[in-house]
Amino acid sequence: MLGIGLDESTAIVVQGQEFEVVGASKIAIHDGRIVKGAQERNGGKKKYFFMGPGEKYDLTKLERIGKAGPERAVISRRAFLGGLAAAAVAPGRIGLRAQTSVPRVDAQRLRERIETLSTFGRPAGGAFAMA
Amino acid sequence: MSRIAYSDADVGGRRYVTGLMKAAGLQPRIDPAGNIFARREGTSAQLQPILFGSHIDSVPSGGNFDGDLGSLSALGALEALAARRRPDAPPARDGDLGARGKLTPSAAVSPAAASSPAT
Repeated sequence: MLGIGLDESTAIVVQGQEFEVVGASKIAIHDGRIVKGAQERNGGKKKYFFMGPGEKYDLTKLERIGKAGPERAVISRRAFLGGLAAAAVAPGRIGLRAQTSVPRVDAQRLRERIETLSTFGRPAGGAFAMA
Repeated sequence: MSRIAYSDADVGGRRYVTGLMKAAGLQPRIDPAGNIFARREGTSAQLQPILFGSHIDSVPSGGNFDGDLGSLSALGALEALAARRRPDAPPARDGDLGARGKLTPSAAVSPAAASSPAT
């Protein structure tokens, strides 16, 4: 079993069998094993470790594989969502080429749904803004 | 945006999301605590399940994306995988994410709403 916990304003970008942590905070990995640096809770029954922006993980070997350059390590939530919107409009222009063999989330539909959901609990006069 | 658990806004948001889940061919269920679950069966019982979890309620004056982005992205991922299963789509490979996965956008809800069928 592999558990991945994402803190707020943080995401993982999966490419092939690897992922990279991006965002403002960190993620927690629990793979059922005791690893160096793991945090232990509840008498050691739960073991996990943290990974920060720029760090990479191999999903097949279940281990860290290095760190990306600092220029890619941190992006804001606004930048992430802006990229998501751009991908919906012109995926080929920002390096997210449409690949029929790789399932991809419909970014435009996702954006529309988030906006619709935001109407529940929105204050009077409030508006939805992506950027 | 304030979609506090147990509020009318929370119940409305839950109805919207469960509606999306049903439209995607899922059969959402709600446990006594108000968590919403849905499961998409994969192509192979030999593969490990993938579990997505997030929330659609919020703290007072919370952001538009906290929780919502995770919940709706998970639904989008399941839809993307379902589209790949179309007859004209290439067969899934071993190890595909979501092959036997679950989707669990969750949020607290009032006991009355939790005991009612999702709409």
